[in-house]
Amino acid sequence: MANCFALMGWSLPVIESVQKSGLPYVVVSFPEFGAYAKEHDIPFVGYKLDEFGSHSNSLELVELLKPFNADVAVPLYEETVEWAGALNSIFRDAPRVLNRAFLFRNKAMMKRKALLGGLKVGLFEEVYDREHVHKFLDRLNEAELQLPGEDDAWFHAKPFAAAGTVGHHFIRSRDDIDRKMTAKDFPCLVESHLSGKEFSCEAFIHKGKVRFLNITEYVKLGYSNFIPAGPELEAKRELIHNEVQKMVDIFGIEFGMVHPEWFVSDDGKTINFGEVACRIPGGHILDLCGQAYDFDALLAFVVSHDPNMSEEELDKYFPPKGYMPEKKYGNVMVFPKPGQISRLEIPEELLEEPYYLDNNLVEPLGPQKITERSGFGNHFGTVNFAGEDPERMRELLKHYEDVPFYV
Amino acid sequence: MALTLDQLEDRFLHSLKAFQDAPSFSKDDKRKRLISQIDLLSRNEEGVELLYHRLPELDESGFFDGTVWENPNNLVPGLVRGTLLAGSPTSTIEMLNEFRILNMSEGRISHPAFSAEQATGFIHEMLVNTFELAFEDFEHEGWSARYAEGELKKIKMLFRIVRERIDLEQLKPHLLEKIEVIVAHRPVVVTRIKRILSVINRELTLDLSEEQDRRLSYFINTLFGPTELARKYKSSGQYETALENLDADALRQECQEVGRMMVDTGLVSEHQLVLLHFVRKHHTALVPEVLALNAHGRADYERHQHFVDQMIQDFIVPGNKQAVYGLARVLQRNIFSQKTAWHAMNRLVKIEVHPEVSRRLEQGNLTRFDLSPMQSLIGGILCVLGLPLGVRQGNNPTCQSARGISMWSRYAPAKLINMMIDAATTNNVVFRYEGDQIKSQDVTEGLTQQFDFQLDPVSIVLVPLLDKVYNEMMKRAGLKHFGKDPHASVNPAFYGHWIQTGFRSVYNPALHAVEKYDEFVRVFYASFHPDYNGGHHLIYPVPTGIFITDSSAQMLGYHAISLLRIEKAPETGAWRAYFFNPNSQGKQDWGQGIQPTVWGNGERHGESSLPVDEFVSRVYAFHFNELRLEDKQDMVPVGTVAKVTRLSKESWGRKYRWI
Repeated sequence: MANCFALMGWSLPVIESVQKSGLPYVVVSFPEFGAYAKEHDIPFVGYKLDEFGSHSNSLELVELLKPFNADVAVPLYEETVEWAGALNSIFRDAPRVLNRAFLFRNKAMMKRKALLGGLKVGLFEEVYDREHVHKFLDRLNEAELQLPGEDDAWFHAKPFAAAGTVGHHFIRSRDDIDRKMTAKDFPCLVESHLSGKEFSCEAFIHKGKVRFLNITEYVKLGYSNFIPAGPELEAKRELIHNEVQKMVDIFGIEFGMVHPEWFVSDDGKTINFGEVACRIPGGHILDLCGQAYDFDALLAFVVSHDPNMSEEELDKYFPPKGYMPEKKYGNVMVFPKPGQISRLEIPEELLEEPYYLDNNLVEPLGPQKITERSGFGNHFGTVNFAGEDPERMRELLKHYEDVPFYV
Repeated sequence: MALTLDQLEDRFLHSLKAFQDAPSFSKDDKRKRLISQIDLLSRNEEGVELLYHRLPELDESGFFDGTVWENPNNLVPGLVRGTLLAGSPTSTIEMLNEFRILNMSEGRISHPAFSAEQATGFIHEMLVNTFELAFEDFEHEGWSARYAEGELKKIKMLFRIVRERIDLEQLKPHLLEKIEVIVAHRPVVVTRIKRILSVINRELTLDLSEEQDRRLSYFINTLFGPTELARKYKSSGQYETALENLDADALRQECQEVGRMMVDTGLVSEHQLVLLHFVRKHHTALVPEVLALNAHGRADYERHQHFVDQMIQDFIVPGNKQAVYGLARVLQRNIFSQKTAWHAMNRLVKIEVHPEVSRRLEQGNLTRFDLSPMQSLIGGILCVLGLPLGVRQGNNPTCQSARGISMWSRYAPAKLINMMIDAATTNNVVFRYEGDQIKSQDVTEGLTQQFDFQLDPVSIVLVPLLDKVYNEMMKRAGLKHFGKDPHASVNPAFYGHWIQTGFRSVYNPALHAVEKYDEFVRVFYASFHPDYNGGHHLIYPVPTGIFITDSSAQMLGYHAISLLRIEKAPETGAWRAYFFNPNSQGKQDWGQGIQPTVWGNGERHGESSLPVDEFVSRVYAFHFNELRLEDKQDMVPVGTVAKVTRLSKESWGRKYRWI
């Protein structure tokens, strides 16, 4: 059992879960959070996680953590993955743990590793300017045996290290390259488009084995999802489980939770690897997962990082093996529609809906103007649903994506 | 299939548990989720009843901690109406808060600093303040157009529970006081008092052996049946027939009685309107009686009889019957005898109203009667010209515009009518600001985002335009006179030449501090207080910026009012500042015992007043005449300045650096 978990980053739901469990912990985050932490009795070490150098490094941070006796570092979000990797490699005296953390933070390296290990990935390259991208498209078109006059092959350009879809461009033609990509996008990774339906899963890993696999069904990426996934995806659980385990083996992941994204091929027989992260996924997925399987998924995420925990101890934090809940739990993230809004108005039909569970929508502070959204940030809260029928769930989530909650 | 009450209760208890168990930093999120469950329970009567009974547990859980409702001593009964109509979750917490206080009054919840008597007092005062809402059936389509059905239902169920547990008879003295205050104010818009009176008429039994009940009955009669004849013949048609059968004396008496009641209360009944139209047709000599005109008013009527009769015939209808009082006041003020106003008025009655302005006016018609845009407009201008101090800003942040309309109505009626002609025909007004023109049409943003239409027609026509002009002037002043108070240049451009050229503000924006406060206070007294300015009355009103503070003297924000006069109160002989406050809805409490009154201290209709020292302690900026200062400020006693300074430093001054 860990002496003390160092939670790297800032997440109140995670802090709440760990605090309630009684497990020893300390939060490592930006010094700005110090006052708040003190006010709410949260054990805290302030550190400039966005700086790296002689005054800010893991060796020094380890010293600051000694009074807390911390021996397991848990990354809470994308930007703290290397820090957690560095600390854990010191705690466990295993230098390669840090290298592995880099895998998650460099999408090109991640793809190469996947390719070496035999996962199916697209054709990819690291590119440094637009000229490179044009040449990449030349080669991709050539490999696709393009004839004159045919459409260009599709591909994606994404930053090496950014969460979710931030900075992502979907390029559908040669014109798109010049139109969508600007100097600040480089360097980045370009990768041919993998067709198929996208989904993500969360695999809790302990001692190199998948302890628990959650499959999330996206109704609309960035807006709505539900857990457990509908029967179509759940039918592939074994296939997915095997692919995830394969990926874990290839990457040499021993502890923690991974959050890979996959594409199911159109014939449904194979799944292709998109990418993988090892932080808490967005979209309140772990909330839903915890409600659906009746366990504290955030706490399970934390304890999965503990190398000293025995199999039996670990079992206490997870649902029974093979347990499949009856009820689906889903949510819609609410973004006010562009235009003028002045107040929150919960639609009558929602209040009459038996699948409706609750919401945590915020009230606008007086009238304000809403512009088009960028990325997936800044939602005004979520509306939660629960019910047994996946068809109905999809229908509701799709419907409430468009319903205006702010007028 | 909807969830059963038991299922809903289970979910409520589950969420309550999660809230109780949550650490301090996640209380807010868990509270929101708990409120989701409460919202579901508040959709039917059993659910609301259940919430009422579960309140002690909810209160115990710390539900109100960290919210503005936390300390019952800080709650303001006058704000309940607004929060109830603000939508969930605010309205839900407000409803629960009323249940909490009701539980306190019944001894089911005890609070160390809030007794059961205090709780009962709060509920009484809250009910008086929300009286119309408490008895509203929300049948009028205006409600459903603006608010969600579930929200209205929630409010209805809340008040059902409150009414069942409160003895309404005990509200009478509070209601009477409320009515007296509103009546003393003589507001142009009387929707509120009409609703209150009709609810009292419907819901309460009056005992005429009690003085207070007789007073209430008088107000109700003024509105719903001013004379015996009117009470006997309720419908307009029957009443008119009855009038035809009266002999000359009886008719004159009927006119006088009805006219007197209007003068006493500022309220016009449907019967009075019938009576006015009847005498205009058949006995024009009695028109001054119905309007209760004195010799000045009578003279003006006789001089302009043809025009006035025409106006009554064309423009005064059941949908704007208050215009009868407006007309009476206009005649008393001899406005038609001012050449400029006369010509302006003659032009106004012939205009073609812009479609956009018509739309606004129609939206502003909150009565059940049809009202053409022209009727609305003419009735409106009569009321505003008749009652310059009855102009209010409603729920709009437009105190400057309201102050302007009031000021023009009082000092430059022709300017106001002239501006109305522009605004109503073109939906545009043009102002000069330091050599440039500002057209309201070209300005995209004002201070108001969502316009509240509970206003008089003149405000409905002008305020949206004035608000934009004012906002644009303030923006330009901010750039042009960087580091200076923008009001110094905007006020004269916006209001006109009445604004004096000297300007003082307590605040120095360059130093971010209150500076030379002593001098500020001295100049104020030396300019306006007869004891120090050579014994003179003000010539023009003084637009004054004040700090608004709450009952604990905490600063809330800035507000625009006009200082009208400083005079001795008739009974006490103490100096008081009399001012126009476009946002005065009745009793106010500015903390430190500072409570502006609207009657009982020599106020004229529509005025508010305060002892001078207390008034000055809230002022942050004013205009004055530098040429007449002549070092008079040195005569202001040190003790007076010290007293004002103390009141300031211990209220709004806590938020500022003083140098």
